[in-house]
Amino acid sequence: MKKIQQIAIYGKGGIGKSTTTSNISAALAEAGYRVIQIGCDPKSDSTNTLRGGNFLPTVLDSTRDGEKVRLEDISVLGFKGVLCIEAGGPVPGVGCAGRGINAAVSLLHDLNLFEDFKPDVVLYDVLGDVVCGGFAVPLRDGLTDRVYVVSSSDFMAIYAANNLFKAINKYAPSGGAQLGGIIANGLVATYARILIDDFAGRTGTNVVEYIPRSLVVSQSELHGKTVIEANPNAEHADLYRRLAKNIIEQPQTVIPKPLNVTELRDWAREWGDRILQEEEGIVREKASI
Amino acid sequence: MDFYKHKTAPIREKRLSTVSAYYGDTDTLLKEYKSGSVNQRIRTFSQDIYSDIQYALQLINTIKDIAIVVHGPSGCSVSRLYFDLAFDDSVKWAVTNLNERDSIMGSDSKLREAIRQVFKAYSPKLIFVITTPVVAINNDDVESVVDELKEEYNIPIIPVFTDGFRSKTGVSGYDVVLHALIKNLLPEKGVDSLSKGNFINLISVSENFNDIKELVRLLNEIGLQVNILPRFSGLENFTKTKDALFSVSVNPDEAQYPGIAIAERYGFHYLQLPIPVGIKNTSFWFTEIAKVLNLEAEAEKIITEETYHLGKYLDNKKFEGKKVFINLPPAYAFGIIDFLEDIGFEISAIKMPYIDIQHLEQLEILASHKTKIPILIGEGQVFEEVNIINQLKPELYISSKADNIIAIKEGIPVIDIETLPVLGYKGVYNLIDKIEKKLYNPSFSHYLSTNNDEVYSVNWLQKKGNWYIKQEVK
Repeated sequence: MKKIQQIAIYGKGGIGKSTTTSNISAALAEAGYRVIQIGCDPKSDSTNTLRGGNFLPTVLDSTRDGEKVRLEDISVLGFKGVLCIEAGGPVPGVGCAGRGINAAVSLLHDLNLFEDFKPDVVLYDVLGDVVCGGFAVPLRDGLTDRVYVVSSSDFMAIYAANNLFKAINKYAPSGGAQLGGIIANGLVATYARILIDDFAGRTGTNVVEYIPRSLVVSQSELHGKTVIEANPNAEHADLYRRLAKNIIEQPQTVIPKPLNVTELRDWAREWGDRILQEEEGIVREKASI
Repeated sequence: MDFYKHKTAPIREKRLSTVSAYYGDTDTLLKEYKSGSVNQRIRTFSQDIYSDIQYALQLINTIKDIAIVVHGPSGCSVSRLYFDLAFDDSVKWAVTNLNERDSIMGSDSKLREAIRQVFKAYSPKLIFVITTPVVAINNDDVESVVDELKEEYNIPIIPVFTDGFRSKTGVSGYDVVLHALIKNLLPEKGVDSLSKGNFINLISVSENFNDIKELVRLLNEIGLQVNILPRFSGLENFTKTKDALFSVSVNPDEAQYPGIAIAERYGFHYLQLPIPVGIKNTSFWFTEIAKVLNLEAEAEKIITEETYHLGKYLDNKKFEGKKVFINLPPAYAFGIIDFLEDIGFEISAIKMPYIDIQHLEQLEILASHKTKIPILIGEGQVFEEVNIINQLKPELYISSKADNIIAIKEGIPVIDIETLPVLGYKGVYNLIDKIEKKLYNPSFSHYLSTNNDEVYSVNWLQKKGNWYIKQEVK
């Protein structure tokens, strides 16, 4: 049996994980790969743009007492044959979403998903920060080979990425996944790129792609489609294609060295001053004349 | 004490600096308490431990016309099952039988269904929902289900938040139930609370029925009526609490939490007294209550008569130098020690499930003894106990929990006061009678010890009794 590439994508909430993951899936499918995308978020909206709004019951919704679940009940084929699955979870404020991910992933294994569908690539789109053990499931116990983190140059996004690095660092020695790299997303500020590069440098990691903020992405999303499908000729479609190709064809993995609390605080402070100086730069130059 | 605004009772470690792991002399413990910071110790190995849910059920089981819903996976109802098998299977109960899916998606629908079922099947006047660690970890919403059904069925439905892991002291379970009862069943102070009845609230939490009967007998003798709660009580006992003259404790360790709350709510006195065990303590307990009502003379008459007969009964009884091992909750332990020492016994060692800041006076008395008495704090932990028994070779062992089986196997005659009434004057007769029998004929325990293999290996027994008790490193 061929080796399936199992990849998890993490990042702070609202940072563009689902958009990025879906575009990677679409790009891979377009290039002829058999792809499964599994949304690991109780909101269950990870695969929306791949399946054009088709209804998809979540894995956990279908596990009512005593009922036998079939793979076709919880999956639907989306753009270019990407198999879309949503783990699902409790309504907000109730139950335990973390344990839900655990249970959903176990169930998918029980259903022989990977043996039956025979994918080349499986992408797990995982909710936000690694707040508890349940959300770390996709990167533990050899379930995935590589993890990518989506981050902007916003400090809270970097903070979430650093937390993820801590989790990878903890689980990697016992067979957990390693880091494939950082996907820098939604970049606007002039300093954004150097800031993320600096963070990557300090944590011994690398940036696999830089994706500037773009209206094309928003517009495609509002149309319920990926950029690859809605605007296949756009510059961003090529960016996603290049990212997908990199991830699958030239994977590099490292065990990141997360910053500790003081290091992260000092680093943030240093950047805070630097950004301010850059903004005030013009005044200072005049003063030096 | 504004604890009752909160969802549940504070843990004893916080409220009373309760210690549940210690082995050593009384001096060290006393010194730590006096210095204001008692060192919490932990056991790196626990053989057996009671959790708050067992204590909670122990109390709830005796309340009348109830049904219990244990809210958790079926395994969590094992402790309820124990009470059915060991004591009384007339208590109506159900378990919500949570599974993995419920722990992910929330368990409120199953709780709703279970309450509906027990209401239909048993028509209880009161339903208790006992929560378990699974529900606590998930932060499942119990209150809104309870509120909704309370309205629908028009009976009190009381959530009892036994989380299992908040406290290391099982007795916290009593507080959790008492908190819930006060929050849910005690009426607010109304205008009619000015009309006082001729009765007092007797706060009983864990006593056996005959013990309470004896105390009520004494109080009735001076013309005083008694409202017993929460043990053995029904809804009406809670309703009339507010009309009492005052409240009085049986076991101060257990009655303090509700005692103070009732006193604060209705603005009357809570009289906390040492447990009425033994002659001295019973007379003191009785006199103090009578004093409040100016019935001292009447009480005095009864005390004189009772103690006269008891004196005659105790005459010629020789217990001088007999060594006894005490394994009882603190109030009982200190009361019985006091009494047994008065009649000549020597205390070889003490085991208590917990000890706290309320026991400094009694600790002080023990510390002043010529011979240092070792004190073991904790529940279960039979290995530690066997170790002490082997060293000190007591001739008698008094306890109130099933773990006394180990003492019998070591050849020591055992008195179990869980079912033996020892309170009041009658309790003295019962206790002495039992002691005499056990000392006269210890053949049962001797037989068991000679015909049983040693429970522990030599290797184990050579370890110190405090081998697993370590100071918590912060």
